[in-house]
Formats: sequence, C-alpha cells, structure tokens
Amino acid sequence: MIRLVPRTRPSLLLQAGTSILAVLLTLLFGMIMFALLGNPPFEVLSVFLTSPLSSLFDISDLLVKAGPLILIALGLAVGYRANIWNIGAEGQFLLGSIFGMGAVLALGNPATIWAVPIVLIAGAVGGMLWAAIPAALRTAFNASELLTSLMLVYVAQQLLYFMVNQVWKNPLSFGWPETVELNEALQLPALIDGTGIHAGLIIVVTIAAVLAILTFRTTFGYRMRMAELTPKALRFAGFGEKATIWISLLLSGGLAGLAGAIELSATFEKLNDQFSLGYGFTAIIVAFLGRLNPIGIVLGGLLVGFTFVGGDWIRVSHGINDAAADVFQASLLFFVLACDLITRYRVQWVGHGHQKRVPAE
Amino acid sequence: MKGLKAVLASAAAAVSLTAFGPASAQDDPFRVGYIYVGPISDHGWSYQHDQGRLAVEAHFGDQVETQYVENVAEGPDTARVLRQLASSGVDMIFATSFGFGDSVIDMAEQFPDVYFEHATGYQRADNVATYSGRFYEGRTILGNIAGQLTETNQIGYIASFPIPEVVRGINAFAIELRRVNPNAEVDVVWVNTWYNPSLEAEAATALIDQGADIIVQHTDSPAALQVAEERGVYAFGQSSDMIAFAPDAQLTAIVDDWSQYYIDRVQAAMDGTWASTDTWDDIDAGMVFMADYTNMPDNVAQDAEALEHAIVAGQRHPFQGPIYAQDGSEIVAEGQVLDDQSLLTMDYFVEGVTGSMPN
Amino acid sequence: MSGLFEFLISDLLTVSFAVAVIGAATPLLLAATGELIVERSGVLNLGVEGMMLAGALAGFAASQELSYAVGIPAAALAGALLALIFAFFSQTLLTNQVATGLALTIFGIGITKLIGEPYTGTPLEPMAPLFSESLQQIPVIGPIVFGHDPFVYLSIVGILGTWYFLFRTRAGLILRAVGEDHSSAHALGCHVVRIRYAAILAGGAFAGLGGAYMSMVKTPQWNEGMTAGSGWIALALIVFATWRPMRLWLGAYLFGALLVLQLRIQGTGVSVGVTYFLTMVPYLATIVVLVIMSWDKVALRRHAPASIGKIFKPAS
Repeated sequence: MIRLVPRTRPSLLLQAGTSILAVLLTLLFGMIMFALLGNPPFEVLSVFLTSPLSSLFDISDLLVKAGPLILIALGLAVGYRANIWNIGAEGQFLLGSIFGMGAVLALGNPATIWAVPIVLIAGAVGGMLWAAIPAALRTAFNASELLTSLMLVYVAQQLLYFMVNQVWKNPLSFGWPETVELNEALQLPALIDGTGIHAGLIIVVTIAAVLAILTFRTTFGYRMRMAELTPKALRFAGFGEKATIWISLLLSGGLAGLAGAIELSATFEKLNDQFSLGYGFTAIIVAFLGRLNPIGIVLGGLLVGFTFVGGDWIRVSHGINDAAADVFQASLLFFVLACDLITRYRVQWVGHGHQKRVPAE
Repeated sequence: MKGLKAVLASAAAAVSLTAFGPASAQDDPFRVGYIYVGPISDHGWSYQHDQGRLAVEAHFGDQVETQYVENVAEGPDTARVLRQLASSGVDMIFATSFGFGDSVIDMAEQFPDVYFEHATGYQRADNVATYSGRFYEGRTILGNIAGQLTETNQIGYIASFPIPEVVRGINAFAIELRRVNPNAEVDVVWVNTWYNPSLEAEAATALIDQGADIIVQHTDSPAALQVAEERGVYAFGQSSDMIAFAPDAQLTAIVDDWSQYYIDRVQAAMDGTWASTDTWDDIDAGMVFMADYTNMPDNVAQDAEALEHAIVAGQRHPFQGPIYAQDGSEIVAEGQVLDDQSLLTMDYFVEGVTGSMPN
Repeated sequence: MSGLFEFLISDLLTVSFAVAVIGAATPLLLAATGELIVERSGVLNLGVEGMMLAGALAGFAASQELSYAVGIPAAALAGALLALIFAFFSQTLLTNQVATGLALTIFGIGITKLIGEPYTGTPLEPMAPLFSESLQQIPVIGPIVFGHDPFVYLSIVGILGTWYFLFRTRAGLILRAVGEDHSSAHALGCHVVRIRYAAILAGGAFAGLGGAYMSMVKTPQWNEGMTAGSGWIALALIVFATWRPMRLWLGAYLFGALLVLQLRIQGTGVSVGVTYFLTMVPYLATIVVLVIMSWDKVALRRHAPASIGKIFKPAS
C-alpha cells in the first residue's frame, strides 16, 4: 500500500530535483516514441537535444519562441494560484495584436520610435479589455471564466479575420488578408545583429523579474502564495473575491495582449490571418511547468521553446511529424505533474505490520 | 548492438551535417526542400504539392534528394524552418503558400546560393522565383457542366476566404454558368477556414437543403463531396481528384498538377540555367488538369472537353466580355478580356452570384 | 424584413432543417453526456477534445480494417483508454485536473496525428441508416424518427440512460454524492476514487463515440485534428445545461441549430463581411446562455457538483 502524507513546505531543492526527473522521463518516453515510429532513437534524440543550442540562430529562435510564452504564462499563473481559470489567453493575445495594429494605423504608421510604447500599451489594453469580459461576467453573473474566456478565443479569431480581410487589408497585397507592414521605426530592433533576438525580450525579462520580486519579496506575494496553499479560497488573502478575479484576469489579459503587440512589432511586423499560433494555449503548459512561479515559468518557457526548435530540427533532419513536438510537450507536462507528487507529499509504503519510510529528500 | 560510441558518433555526424551543411562533393545528390502550409493529408493543396515532390523524386532518381516539412505556420515560424532547411545543405526550396513570402525574401538574402521558389507569391529576387496556376480556367469548365446539369438552377458554392483567388474562381464559374443557363444562380457560403471537414459538411448540407443540386467548393477537404454523394447530388473535386470519396457524385475535379513545373525548375537549377521568373501556368501548360468527366451524359462531357480544348487553343478566355456586374452594369465589353492585373486583384462579384462583396 | 420572415417559415420549419440539426448536434451530445457523468462525480476533465480524436481515429481505423460493428466499440475503448491516463494522474497521483486535462487534449491531438498518418486520404463507405427504406419514407416522422444512423440513437439512449442512472438508481445517487461532497461520501463508506475512475472511463467512452460519429458518419474520413474544437463546445454545453441531462439534450440541439442556422442565413445571400460575425454567433450565444444559466447563483450552486475539480485525498 502507498500512503501519501502531505508535506508542510515543499523544498526548493526537491522541486528542482523532480523537475530534472520529469525531463529525463520525458526524454525516455520520447526515445521510445521515436523508436516505435521507426527512427533511430539515439540519433533523433541527439539532434533534438543539441540542435537548439548549436548556433546563435537556433538560440535566437528558441528565445523568440519562449518570449511570448513566458509573458503570457506569467500572467496566467497569478490567477491560477487563486483558482481563476483564464484559458482564453489566445484570444487576449489576438486582441493585443489587433489593438496594437489599430494604434499603428491611428498614428499613421509613423517613422518614430517614440510610438512604440503607445503600440505596446494599446496591445496590453486590448488584452485587458478582452479579459475584462469574462471578469465582468464572472463577478456580475457568476458565469464560469474558464468557459467564457475560451469561447472568446473563437470570437477573437473571427474578429481578426474580419479586420485583416475587410478593414485593414493592404491594397498592395494582391487581396491577401494582411495589413501594411509596420514602419521600420516601429519594429522592435534586434539586440544582436542578424538574429531575431529582439528588444521585446528585455520587456519579458523585466516583467518576470518584477513579478518574481513581487511574489517572493512582498506581502502581496506572500498572500498570493498562501492562496495557492488553501485551494478553497477563491481569493488572495487581504483581497475580496471580486478584486481577486479582476486582478487575475486584467493582469493575465494585459500581459497576453502585450505579448500580442510585441509579436506584431518584433516578429510578424504586420497583422495577417495567421497570427494565431496557439501561444495562449501553450502558455498554460508553461505556467504549470513553472509550477506557477515566475522563475520556474522563465525556465519552463525556455524548455518549451527548446522543444519547438528541437522539434523543427528533427522534422528537417529525419522527417518526423510535427505532432512529435505536441506529444513531447504534453508528456513533459504529465511527468512534471506526476513528479510533483513527490514534492507535495511524502510517499510512504505501508507494509504488513511494519512501516518503511522511503527516503524522499 | 553497435555500441554506444558508434551510435553517438553517427548522431554527432548527423548534427554537424545539419548544423554546418555538407561538404558538397561532385556526386552528392541535388537536395530539394519543400515547405507546406497544411498537412500533406489534406488531400488538397499541400497534398498536390507533395505529389509534385514525389514526381521530382521519380524523375531524377538518385540525382536528387527531396524532403518536406508540413504544417508550417505563416509568419516568424516560416523563417525558422527555411533557415533550418537552407543551413542543413538544401540547394533549392519550394515554399508553397502565399504567407511564406516575407520569410522567403529574408532568407533568400541570407542564403544567396540557395534557389527559392514561392508559390502564389509576387515578391521576387535574384534567387527567388514565383509561380502559380490559372485554376480559374478549370472553374469555367465546371460552370459549363453545372449550367447544363442543374435542374433547380441553384448552385451551392462553399468558399474559404474572400481573397482574389477565391473570388476569381467564383466569377469564372458564374460567368460560364450564366452563359449556358441564364436562369442559374450561385449561392455562396463562406466558412472562413481552408480546412474543417465537419463545417464544410454542414455547409454542403445547408446548401443542398436550400435547393442546390450541385456543390462547388474552394476549401480543401473532401467532406462536401461525401455529403453530395450521400444526398444524391453532384459536386466537383478541389485541388486533387477526389473521386474515391464520391464515386457517384464527382463530375470532375480541378487538379493542381505541379509535377512538370517542379521537374523543369529542378533541372534548370542543376544545369545552372535557372533564372528568377514569374510563372502563371494554365491548362495548356499542364499545371491545371481536369480529372475525368464522370457521372454526366456524354453530350455534356463532350461540351466540357470542347471547352477545355477551346481554352487551351486560346479561342476562349474565361473572362471575355460581355461580363456584367451584380447590378447589371457592364464590366467588360464584348470582345474584350480582363488583363492579369485585374484578375489578380479581383474583389467584386459578377451577375449570377448571390451575396455581396464590400467595397 | 419580410424576406427574413419568409426564410424562417420556408426554411427553418422543415424536416431537412431538423435532420441537419440532429447531425450537427450528435457528436456534441455524445461527448457532453460523457463529461456530464464525469463532472457529476466531482471531476473536471478538460481532455474531451483529445479523447474525441482518439475515438475518431480508432473508430475509423477499426471500421476500415474490420467492420462498423467493431468500429463503434473500438472508438469507445480508445476514448476510455485516454481517459484512463487522466484518471491515473488525477485520481491516483492527485495532479491538478485543469492542467492534466489540457495535457490530455494536447497529447490526444499529437498522438492521433502520429498514429493516424497512414489512414489519411482513404475513404470509408458511409454507414447505412438503421431502419428500412419504407419506414424512412413516412412523411415528416420517417426522416426525423427513422432516418438516422446508429450513433444518433446511441446519443439519445445515452442521455436518457444517463438521466435514469443519475436520478433513478442507487449507483447514480452514490456518484452524485461523491460529486457533492467527497469527504462525507468517503466517511459513509463510498469508494470515492474507484467511483471516479469509473465515471472518468465512461466519460472517455462517450467522448470517443462522439469523435467517431465525425470520422465514421458525418465525414467518413480520418484527418488530423478533425474534431476542430467540438470537445470544448461540449464542455461549455454542460454549464449551459446546469449539469442536468434533459437540458443538456436541449442545449446540444440548440447549439446545433445555431450552427446550421448561420450557414443557412448565408445561403440566402449576405455580404462577406457579415459572415465573420455569423460565425461568431454560436460562441457568443453560448456565452449569453452561460450567463443566463449562471445568473441565479443559488440555483447554480444547487446543480453544480460542489466538489468539482477539487483533489480528493482520503485522510487515512
């Protein structure tokens, strides 16, 4: 018989250890999967593991992919700690890109770098407004934010199609659904010439640092962490239930919207009907991989970025289906959740008559 | 077991190959990469490009090595996959979706020794060519067949997005439909997706319920044909021959046949005669291919074939006047034809189409 | 305006409309029925989409290789198999249910894409209706009552059976008790974990059938991600129905009607720009109904299983 005894305080060392264990288990699972698909498992795995770090370009790709995931996950995690389930970040991300583009066009696509903050703020506002809908519906009418935020993703998608097909279509794009390109001054510059590592990533790191300090060094953060430990409490200590809902959704929506505007300015450089890459959904995985804590989320985002780039490389090198990256990410999350068991509970073997403690730390 | 060392060595070799490119010896095969926007299993657009890739493999044998990457999102992800392909030593890349364009131009600059080919695009460079097919020619033939076969005079048209390619197809179809049968009308349903079998089936059902007895589609899955088959009405295949999905319902299909173009271009690149060109090929060139005319009376099939020959011979242009707008005003006068520029930017419906385009 | 009125009369009050609605609603109803059982036992499984895809692939593959008679149970089994993963993680390893469910969806999408590759682009003979031609030709009643494939009847039997099970049997009472308050149920001697395992597996089987309806009947083909978000709509339908089977049945058909309606309005000729907003309608309507249903907080609390999504760990 297995018996689980809750730990009062999960240790950081244990968390790190179990995370590494989860990664190793995922790799093992991946190798079995590659072998079953008829590929040489060691070879594929070695491409998967080494290629994302093999050149500056690949590192750049990894960071560019991780950036929006981290930013969105940082916001989501705050709400998740208090059981506020915003799973519609994808919609808020799209609204951020739409509002960002709206700001660009309203300002006349100016050749001044000073308009960049306006574009980014507009994006954050767009995401906040979209997240305010589930917040209002939850606080006023008790409607589940999990479902309303999700339904709004589909609505946002159609809104994007409408904007790029009907309203903002570039007259020079031969009728294809895309806007004009952002003026070069409005495109977040590359930090290292020739790579995609862009200034938006500084914003991501800054916000992660601020949230980390907030979480670990302030009373508010302490209360927030307490909210997680008391799963029944639908609120952060010291705040009312409604305030908690509003804080959670506005923050996560705002960050998702900001991520949308950053992507618009730094990578897409225009709005098109392909803007939805599923970052809002993948960020949910990142939030849980990072155990809802800002530092963990940064690492989780890098890890998921790694699986994207590595996954692309094994597509190119071995023709492995792109679904392999999906399966990788899902199994990574499965294993992290499972290994979490060890951090949250002491596992005891209850034998016949005698009890033996399993060394867990 | 060869031993871990050997495995790791081969793995390292694989990595260094992908990372630094092959030391290109003389007898190395010419490597061609393809990127697709959808899955090759879509049985439509991406599937047909992959058929073209397989034709290249079959034609050149050991001389050429091909590979593909499917489900590549348009946007920043495109550049990543293109760079990975180019830096792993691919000599030539076919990028088969419009939205890949900006990334193709960027990467072409970074990899001047790689030949790039961009389907449906308009931006070219020294090492970037563009190509597409005049699929609207096929739509004209569909219009001819539908005009003769419809009994309810209502044609259901499942459309994806209001881009010129789709609008042009609807108009080419409607012009010929009305020429053959002035009472027939085209009802358009926009599903706002290229690929969603369930929704495409719902749309086909709705159109048939509303009286359509022929279904035309400009979406990728064979779902609408399956509904037509079940409901006992006619339909046309899209991008590929979909007769297997609707043996009694498919009248014909507009097949995108990229094989010859791909073989020619790869040959040119290998010979060193490749040049940046803009190709818009038609039925005559073989890029647009009509599947067998089935499930229709002989005289209708003969008319369709005659029309096909007339288009090939240049005696008929799908957009030759008189063409009337929805409000009845004349857009193209008798004896005139629309030029390519007008075709490429088409954003209005002609007479015979219900529903409206803004602007 | 008169045109719209005419359209409503001539187009909506027709047998074909009813049949189209049933076709659109059946996969949603099947999947939602399963999730209803799961949620009534106090568990939230967001992996519906993944389980539907597993069912769609297994049903298609088994039908093509063997027969429809094998395809239907194979689909249920595949759905249940994926559900077993969820049950093991959420019930035995006590993982967060939201995260585990999402992982299951992503896993299901990916794994079916990998395994299903050889089946893409191959057709499947459509399934014959269950009843004879002569019965189907009875006016109005014929096509509505006798004109369907086995899945439609299965979905109706499923939801009626679920109602009977939940509210008329002792086992159903126990399941609901577990969903209401697992600690008390445990104290009364109920095997909370075992009951939840059973509910999750049943939910997976229903989701698998819902997916199989798409790959075996609606569009007899296998394609990656072919359920295209139906699993999420099934989840919304449950709140929409305030966890009550009869309302769920109604809700599924209502949603199906909205889906069919927006396509039919288009068929009467509207501007392209309007179509984006028509496509939004089913989702917006879901939100509106969700709000109406949730408004009465007391009523919602009365019907929502109180311990939904909460981790149960017996204090042994």
